[in-house]
Amino acid sequence: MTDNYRNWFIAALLLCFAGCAPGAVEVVQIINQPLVVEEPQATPPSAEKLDSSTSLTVDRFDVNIGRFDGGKMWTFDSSPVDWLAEAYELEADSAWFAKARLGALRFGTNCSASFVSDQGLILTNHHCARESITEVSLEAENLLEEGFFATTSAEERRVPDLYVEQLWDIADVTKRVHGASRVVRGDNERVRARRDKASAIADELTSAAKKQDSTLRVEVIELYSGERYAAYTYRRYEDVRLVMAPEKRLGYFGGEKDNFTFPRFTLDMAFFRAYDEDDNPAVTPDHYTWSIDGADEGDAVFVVGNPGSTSRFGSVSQLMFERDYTLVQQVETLERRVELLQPFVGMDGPGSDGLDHMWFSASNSLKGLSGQLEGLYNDTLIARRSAAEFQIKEDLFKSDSLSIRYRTVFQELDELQLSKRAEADRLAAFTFFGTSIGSRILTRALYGYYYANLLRRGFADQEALDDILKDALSLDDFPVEVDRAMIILRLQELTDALGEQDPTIRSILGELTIDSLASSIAANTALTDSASFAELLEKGFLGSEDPVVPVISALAPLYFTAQQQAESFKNREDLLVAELASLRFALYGTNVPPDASFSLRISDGRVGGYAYNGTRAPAFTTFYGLYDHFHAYRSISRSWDLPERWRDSPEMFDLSTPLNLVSTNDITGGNSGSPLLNKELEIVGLVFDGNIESLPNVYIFSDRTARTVSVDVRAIKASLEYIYGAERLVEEILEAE
Amino acid sequence: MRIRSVLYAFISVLLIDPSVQAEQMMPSNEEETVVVRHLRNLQADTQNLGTPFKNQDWVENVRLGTLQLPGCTGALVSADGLAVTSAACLRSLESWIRPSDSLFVADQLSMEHRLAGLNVEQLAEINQLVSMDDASSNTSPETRFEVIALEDSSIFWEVTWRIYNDVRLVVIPPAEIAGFGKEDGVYPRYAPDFAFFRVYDESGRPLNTESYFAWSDRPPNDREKLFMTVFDENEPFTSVTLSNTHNYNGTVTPPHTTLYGMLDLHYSHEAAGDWGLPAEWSTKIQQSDLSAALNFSVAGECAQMGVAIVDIDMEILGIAFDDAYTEGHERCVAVSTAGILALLRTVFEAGGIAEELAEQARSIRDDG
Repeated sequence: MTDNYRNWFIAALLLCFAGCAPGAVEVVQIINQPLVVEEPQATPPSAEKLDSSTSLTVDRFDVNIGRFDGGKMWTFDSSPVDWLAEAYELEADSAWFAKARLGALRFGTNCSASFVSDQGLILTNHHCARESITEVSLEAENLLEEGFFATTSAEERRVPDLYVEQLWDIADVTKRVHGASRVVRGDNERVRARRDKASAIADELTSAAKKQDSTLRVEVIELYSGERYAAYTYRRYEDVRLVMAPEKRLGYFGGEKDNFTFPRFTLDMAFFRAYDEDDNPAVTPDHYTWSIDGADEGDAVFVVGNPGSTSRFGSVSQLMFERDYTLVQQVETLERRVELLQPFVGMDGPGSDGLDHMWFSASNSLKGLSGQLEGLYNDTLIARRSAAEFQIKEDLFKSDSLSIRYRTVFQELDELQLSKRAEADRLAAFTFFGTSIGSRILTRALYGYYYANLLRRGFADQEALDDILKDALSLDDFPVEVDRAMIILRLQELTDALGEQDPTIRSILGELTIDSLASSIAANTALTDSASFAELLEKGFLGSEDPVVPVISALAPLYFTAQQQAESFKNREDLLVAELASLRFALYGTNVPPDASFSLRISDGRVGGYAYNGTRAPAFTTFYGLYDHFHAYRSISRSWDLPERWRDSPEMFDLSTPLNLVSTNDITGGNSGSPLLNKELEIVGLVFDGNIESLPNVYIFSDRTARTVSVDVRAIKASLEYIYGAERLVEEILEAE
Repeated sequence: MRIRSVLYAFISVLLIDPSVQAEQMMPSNEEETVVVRHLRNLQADTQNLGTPFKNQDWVENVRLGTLQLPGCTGALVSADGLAVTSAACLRSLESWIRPSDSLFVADQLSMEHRLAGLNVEQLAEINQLVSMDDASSNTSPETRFEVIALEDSSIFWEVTWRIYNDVRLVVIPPAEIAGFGKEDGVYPRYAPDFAFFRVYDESGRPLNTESYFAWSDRPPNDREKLFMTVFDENEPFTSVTLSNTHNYNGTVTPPHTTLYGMLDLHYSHEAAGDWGLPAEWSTKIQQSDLSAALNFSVAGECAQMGVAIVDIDMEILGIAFDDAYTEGHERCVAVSTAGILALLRTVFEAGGIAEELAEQARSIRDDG
């Protein structure tokens, strides 16, 4: 799935170098995701076949604003009681919502999960568990490939630093937070005052809660960009142990190729268990019960999880900027790197794993970003967002007080995009620069430059310095011919963006061609591996004779200036978007859910197939399809390979058992591992992805053909029972009351 | 006599005398047609494969092994006149000729059912004429003559078509099975769209023929060079490549589909609608070798429904049955001969036919 971003931003550190306090160094973290999804339908999607030769997420003929264009990621603060009654004839009372909330978990820092027994048993995705599985593997084991099952609870393996969090309680603290900013003048200052207050409230409430129960902690969540604040009390389970994981071949069946695809045949599941402080399985009465019969097409289903964020609430001018610059630049930059790496993929030898991983990450991101870009090329999508923007402007001018306060917000956003456009081509040369998807030599050089300058300026925070050093030295190595090609590519991109006569380019190249400079760096630098890099840092990088020093010394200042420029645009933009959110909130209140914020949400939808590829994708797939893919793709790829124990499944194993299913719920990155629940709050599926049509849902929610993809609980139960011999788990989940 | 397309002229050049270069026959460069390019490509392709171009034998076998039906094509697959085409081809015939929508299986000669009114034709001979006046005026119930010419009428050929009017139905799946999913124009696809018929001679005996395509029990290999054996006006003699790397739906299309996939769709759609198999069919299919290839696709358009797709050794790997156009890629969808064989043995209980196909394949291999 899409844990692609995680590893490449290891180096995204350097944002504030030139100006701000060194203490502000931060590692960019991008939330790991499954994906997005689409407009609610109270009736199941129609079963007729539609021509879907082009995959448009929004109805290509419908430019009218939809009731749920902004999405359906409802908070538990203002639960959608009326809507659920209207759409599903579901009388969801506070007890229903409490049960829905308490069974759900935030898993680590980027996934979702749920309790599925009263003894702390946790269900999440295999792709959320990968790092944990690797971490608990012993010397001679490769559990990621081979899978794992603890036949007794004693064999369950604790994962260092892994925790899960249950949303225990919610309180509205808006008044307290806003009170702190009432007398503060200036937009920036007000935002800061609110954030400081929110953080102070969180500390205060946390220490109060901890007196009661040491596992509790409180976060103050900002909703509607600060128009609402809520104190979320979490119960944190800090002893989490791996119980069961299938082989990666099953957990990631279809590999990068099938990512974002449906029909799909992936057993993307893993089980963990929460333990209490006395080393016993945690007692968890608030868990979901397991549905034996699963869901049927047309059934109402609910996803409870922690979606990251979307781009549904900005201005149309922002979308157009993203379409014309950001996404195009990212897509093109990735395309060039994927093409460059292609010939080196799948070869054995030193550095091949890192290289393969980089190629996978890059192609995976390329697929995701291309899908988003395609969404923005859809005129209907833009027209619909424009209609929504026009509506807001109209509504705004009905109120004098609102028009005085907000009348310039769109104009300011539009003007900001013009400024961004003026700089965009120049900044393009640094797309993904200094990330793990690129030349190791240049990235190390950038770290080296940064580190040396911090030392030179007398930066004293030893811990921060150590962290930077650790990051710098954690880069994996890869073959020098790949690095040479990467350097050529980057220098070419810089030359294209800045022009051959640009002073920086001239000072970098001197009399040399790009090729010969890259060759000379590759042949003579010490930065080809971490060990010699460490030595060089020790001796003093910038004072050394290393051939990359003059290059990075010319390039880095330009890069940091560009970053600073980008940051200043971003700060201004964040502020304006927050104003826009306030305006929306003033106009529409909580009728529109706030944008996702990696806090707990509930999203409603229905199980349903859809038009695809000139025919119809069914709502469910079966294990027959798993074997179809295994045999069909064998001659061209190992992505659909099956481990030995799966090749001859036992008689008892019914291949017509549903394996994956699709539904119309609204999800985005962070929802991986979320439970899919029926009206009775029984678990019927395990969310792990969105289909390719759901990618543009990041801009407008649509459920025409966009779908959430889940593992069916019947597939989980059958494989535990017949393939993995995990009857003890089956008994546990079925007996749990 | 009707003067047919100039395109045949170039085929005939190759067929009659492969040593004659197609270019030499061209009146001018401007008139170089798509056919010439195809002929050149074919020669280049076969040379590139490192296999000596099997000129006369190869080409003659293709010519005589191919049968023309009204609007579609069939291929001889045994020395005893057994031929294969798509089920849709036979069911597209005039209503008074075509088989009904239900299942028909004749596992013994005596049970084969004559499709009265159906003639199939075989391209028997091509001769160059000195002038139009030399064209034969003799026609008979067994032969039909046709004169074709270069566009400037500088060169003429006479084509002799051998007509067979005793054609008997051997196996055809029910229409709902052959058209499984009713997914016209779609790939990946899971439709056993095939039918067998047998050609009989004037004396009412199964046609004894040396020219036929040996049955293959394997799906095409990755990027294997294959050939569609038509003599159509647009695509005279086309080499095609298995299309497997096309992006679709965020992933790549499979090189072929399998019987497992057919059952997956049946159960995915809850055994209902266009994908719903009758219970006895799903049960019987489950007893087959489910990993057998069912459909595959090659790049480009199908020349005609029922066209054989053969490998360089003249073994038949598939029967084209539908054009598909997916996300910018034109492809021709075929039923795999491997899947047909698996289904004949179990589902159709036509072990005799399966054995006849397998025997022929073996004997050809032994000879070769």
